[in-house]
Amino acid sequence: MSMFQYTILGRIGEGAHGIVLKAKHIESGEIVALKKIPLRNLEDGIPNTALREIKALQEIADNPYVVTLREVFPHGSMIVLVFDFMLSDLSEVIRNCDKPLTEAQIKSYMLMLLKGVAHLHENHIMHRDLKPANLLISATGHLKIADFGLARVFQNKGDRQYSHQVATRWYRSPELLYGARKYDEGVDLWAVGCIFGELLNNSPLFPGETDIEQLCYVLRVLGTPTEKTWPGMTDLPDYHKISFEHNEPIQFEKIVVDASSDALDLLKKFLVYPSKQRIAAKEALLHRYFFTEPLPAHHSELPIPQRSRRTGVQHKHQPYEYNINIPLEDTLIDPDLIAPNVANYIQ
Amino acid sequence: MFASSTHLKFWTFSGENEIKQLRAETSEKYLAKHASGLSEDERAQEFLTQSEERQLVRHFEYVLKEFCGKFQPPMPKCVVGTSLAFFKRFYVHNSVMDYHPRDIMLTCMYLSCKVEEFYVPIGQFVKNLKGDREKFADIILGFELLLMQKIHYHLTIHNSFRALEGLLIDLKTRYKDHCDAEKLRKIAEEFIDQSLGTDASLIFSPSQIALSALLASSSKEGINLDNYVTGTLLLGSSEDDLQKTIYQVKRIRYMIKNQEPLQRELIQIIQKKLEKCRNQENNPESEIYKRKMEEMIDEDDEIRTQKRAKLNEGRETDHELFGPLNPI
Repeated sequence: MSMFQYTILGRIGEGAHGIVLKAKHIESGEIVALKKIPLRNLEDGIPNTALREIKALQEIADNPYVVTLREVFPHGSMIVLVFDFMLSDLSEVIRNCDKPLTEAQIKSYMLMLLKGVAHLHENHIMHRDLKPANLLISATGHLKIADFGLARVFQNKGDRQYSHQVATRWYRSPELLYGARKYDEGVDLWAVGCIFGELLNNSPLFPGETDIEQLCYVLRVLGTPTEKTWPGMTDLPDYHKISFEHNEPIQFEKIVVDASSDALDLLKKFLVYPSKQRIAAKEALLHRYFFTEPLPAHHSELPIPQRSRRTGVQHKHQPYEYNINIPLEDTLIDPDLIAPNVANYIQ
Repeated sequence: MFASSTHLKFWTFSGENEIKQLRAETSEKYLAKHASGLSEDERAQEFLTQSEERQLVRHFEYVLKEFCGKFQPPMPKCVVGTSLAFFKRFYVHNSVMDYHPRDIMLTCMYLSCKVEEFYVPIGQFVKNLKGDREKFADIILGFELLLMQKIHYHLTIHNSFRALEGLLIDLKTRYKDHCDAEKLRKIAEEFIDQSLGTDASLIFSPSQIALSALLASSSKEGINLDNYVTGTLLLGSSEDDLQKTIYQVKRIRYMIKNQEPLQRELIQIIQKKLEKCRNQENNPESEIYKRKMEEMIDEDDEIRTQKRAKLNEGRETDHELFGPLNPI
């Protein structure tokens, strides 16, 4: 394993810890992303974010909705992480979509996101930084969760303290905004709700510019929390530091105007104050939203990010690029799963 | 999940024989490289024998544990467990003649502090050491990446301490009328502590070690847990599985009870011998090592300059590759 097995093709981006390059694995011809983390001049050695990412990804068995860490190797005084190359991410899809996403497409993204999150949570990993920019989109339209720099193994024992300065602000859950040091995988479920809302609305749900403003946004919609709607909230570290005027909740129907009633029903189940009451990813996957018309789009019907020339001459796209490596069953819906919901629907 | 972990997949061996064989191969590999052309006798005289290597590793396992106990701020038990697991894994495939256990021991501790989210800045870490602290910091940071590489970047350790915690919670919930679980903690934790001096963690699952600890403690405390094990914990498993578990518990208890005592008086002699046969390329105090580090830094700089030139050249094509995206 070494750098010599790869040809560098270009630069993809720059993260907080080093650069990401596009490269080709010479032997297989596969295109990969190399994340290079320099270690020189780092006072405390290998950064925690890199360690957490390696630690988490090494333990996650292959899952189609979680980015694969192909290998890790040292290069001089650098450490290189090799990932599957992904063309784009969900934030770009949202931003660059001329037409708003269709309901079927949104369902498809949510399905993939929830399958990935369910897999992480089953493996006792909380991601802590879910946001559209961390949901990569492959050339076949598949969504994969990436950037595990903040991922942590969680313990259900519940006395473990964590840092509250996690998660990009817009997707940060209310308990984190109130400075919670004890929290659980619910922080990911809140973020999933925010992403869902953003997909439905084509713009972020709670775009706070500061932490205070962020709370304002949330409170304006969910209403000022009370000990009744949010048991235990008064114990949160920053609860007494800020107080807000009393606000009645606004119905989500007024915030996310064009969404179907099923979509709103699911959205509301993610965006609730008590973390434990947020719908688990595994459970959400069985919500009738995913089993009612329009059904989730096949991945070939999703916007596939295109490479384009500067001159504007577009490549002919291949809208029906199937991934032949994925078994057909995986892209179809198991009738057994639908059955109970269909029955409800008919009633 | 332990069942799908790298811990089980790559670092759980079938038994002492397999580990012994792997260690023998490691040692032979070193001798083939550094002692070729020497007779058996000469080798034994100038290089460490397999049993001497073992002595030294076990000595430093002991030192590591002691050091963890005195560490400031006080270390959670999982950091101790993880440090030792890293250390043991490292010396399955590496000879002490290649890498000095003192260097690796410190690096294991530092890395596991990070891995277990027990954050200690390097400056504070080396304050626990006597002597040239800056030198120790350099050694630790110099070996950190190598250590990760040698343990194949498998950083998640499933600690028996945590498994024991689970069993105690289970006792408190499902068996609370029959025993006081907290009474079992002390001896059980001591048992796991002792197990760290053996290869148990390379052979058995953390829950098996924890169960053995619990049973060792219960028999000392005169609390009978047989009903708990057969009627609650393993309720529903086949007779076969039950027998297997009992067998494993016996193996673990035997292993921990029959640890060979450390032969302290030999350690100094072995260490002296090691100074002569160790690989100087990996000795932070040798000239070769210093030169190697300098070369690596020079190489980095060279790569960087080349890259800069290439990037300037490739601006045009970069843009083509990553131009604006056009969805369908």
